[in-house]
Amino acid sequence: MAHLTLAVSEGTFQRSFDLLKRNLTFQDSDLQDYGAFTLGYDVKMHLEGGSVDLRDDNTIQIKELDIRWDRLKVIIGLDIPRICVGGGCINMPWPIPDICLPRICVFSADPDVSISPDFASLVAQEISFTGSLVARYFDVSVPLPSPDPCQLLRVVPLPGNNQWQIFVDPQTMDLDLFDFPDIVGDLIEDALTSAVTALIPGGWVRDLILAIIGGVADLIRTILDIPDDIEEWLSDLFNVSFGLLDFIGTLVLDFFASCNPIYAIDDPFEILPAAGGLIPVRIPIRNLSVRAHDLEMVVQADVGA
Amino acid sequence: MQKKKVLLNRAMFSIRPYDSSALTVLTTLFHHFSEAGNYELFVRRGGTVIHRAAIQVSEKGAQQQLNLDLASLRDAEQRECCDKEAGTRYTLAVNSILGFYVSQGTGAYSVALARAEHKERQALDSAAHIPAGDLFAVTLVRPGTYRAVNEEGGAEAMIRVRPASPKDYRPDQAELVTCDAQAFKPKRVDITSGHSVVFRCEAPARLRVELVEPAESAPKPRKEMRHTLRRSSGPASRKAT
Repeated sequence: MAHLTLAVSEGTFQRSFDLLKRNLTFQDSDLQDYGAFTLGYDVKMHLEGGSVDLRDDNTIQIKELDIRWDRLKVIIGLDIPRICVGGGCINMPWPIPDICLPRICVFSADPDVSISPDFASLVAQEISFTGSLVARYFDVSVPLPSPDPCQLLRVVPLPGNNQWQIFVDPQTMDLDLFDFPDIVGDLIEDALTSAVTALIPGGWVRDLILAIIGGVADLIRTILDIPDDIEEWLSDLFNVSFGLLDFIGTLVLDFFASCNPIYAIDDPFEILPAAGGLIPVRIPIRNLSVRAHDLEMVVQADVGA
Repeated sequence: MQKKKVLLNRAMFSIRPYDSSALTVLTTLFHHFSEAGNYELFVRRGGTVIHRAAIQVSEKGAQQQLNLDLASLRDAEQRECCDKEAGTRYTLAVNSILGFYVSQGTGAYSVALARAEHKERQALDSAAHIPAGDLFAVTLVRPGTYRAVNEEGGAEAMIRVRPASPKDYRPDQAELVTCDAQAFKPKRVDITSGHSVVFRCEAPARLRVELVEPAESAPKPRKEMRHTLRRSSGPASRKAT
């Protein structure tokens, strides 16, 4: 039988989890050049909400944790192909060769346009995971691995002494795919159309240029090589090409499972502080284990020699 | 993506006559070398020679056509085409074509070609006229009606330029018109904005193409900003139901 038993109610555990979760933020940006166009993102997120369910089978379930985007910028840059008139060849009678006309171009170089709309308010995702509670021993004398995988994720300060630490260790995770609503496609198309149109003078000059490029909307789709649904294309980009989904999943896993304990108990544990010229009374903690029950988390340990 | 500084080629859209004696943006002069020999090329802008080059036309020359952008000739020293020691030199085949065009800017240019051995024998002096066998091309972008005039003989032709439509538009189309001392054939040409008309001169000519009547742009429907309600005569009589 264990020397010590400590229980934490589900409500208290929920509050501890909320404190920890509130500190998980993530921001990243990247820009990839695909030749005729560039695509990138500039994102920042945090977690909100979510409920904790301690279960009898020694597992813990975190449900409907909201990924809130503080910034979800999509960067799309287009390198518009040369817009030229003239050119073509005419057949001439022998011995004169066919004569080819020069092309005269509207712009001195291929013009670029770039937009970076922010869809933070239009995208909502949830994350849920089931895991277990794990107790690990932190030995202050053992150097941290180099490079330290938790360096950017650690929000609970490293202790100055040995500790028993209790982690939430997710085993399975469900993360909503990026799913941009229909309006996003319209917003992107409108923004790109405005940016391209702004390059072109008005009147008959615009009519001519639009005829050469075949219309702004078609030009954009051709350059970006996108299907009918821009929003579907964008969702695929975020889910697959940018690898953001995997990154967020790994981030959440590492944050809870490896880098930030939800509870920590010092070893030796101080049961009486220093007073009256006497040194503090500390007891060594051994064989600490943690279990989840339906209503509470139970920690048991021995007092060692 | 590093944003480039891009300038609009405004000269393309300025309205002015196109003249074979003063080559500007959207005009091209093609000289046909029917004889082998060594030639000297002089390119003038505003009466000043801005570029000289030697041209060798021989049976062995492989190049059938060379188009020179008169607006960028000042960079000739940096071109890889030419022997830096001996100056700019182009090698062409007999019956090849040397084209002169202006890609940008407001400058007007003229070109002259003289036989190197007999400098008094000018093969071409565009400021005076285009010799028989040469061609002058104009790319017309502004929709409207244009008049082409051969100032050597007074012959006239009409060119109608239709607005371009985005559906299946290809800018690289050209119509060939023959001109002799008396007339153009055909006398009337219909093209689309951005297409070219190539005049083939069968006699010395000085060609001028000018806009006679621009096409009216289709007026855009005006957005109604005000809605006026008029009351029928007499006091309003709304039946209570």
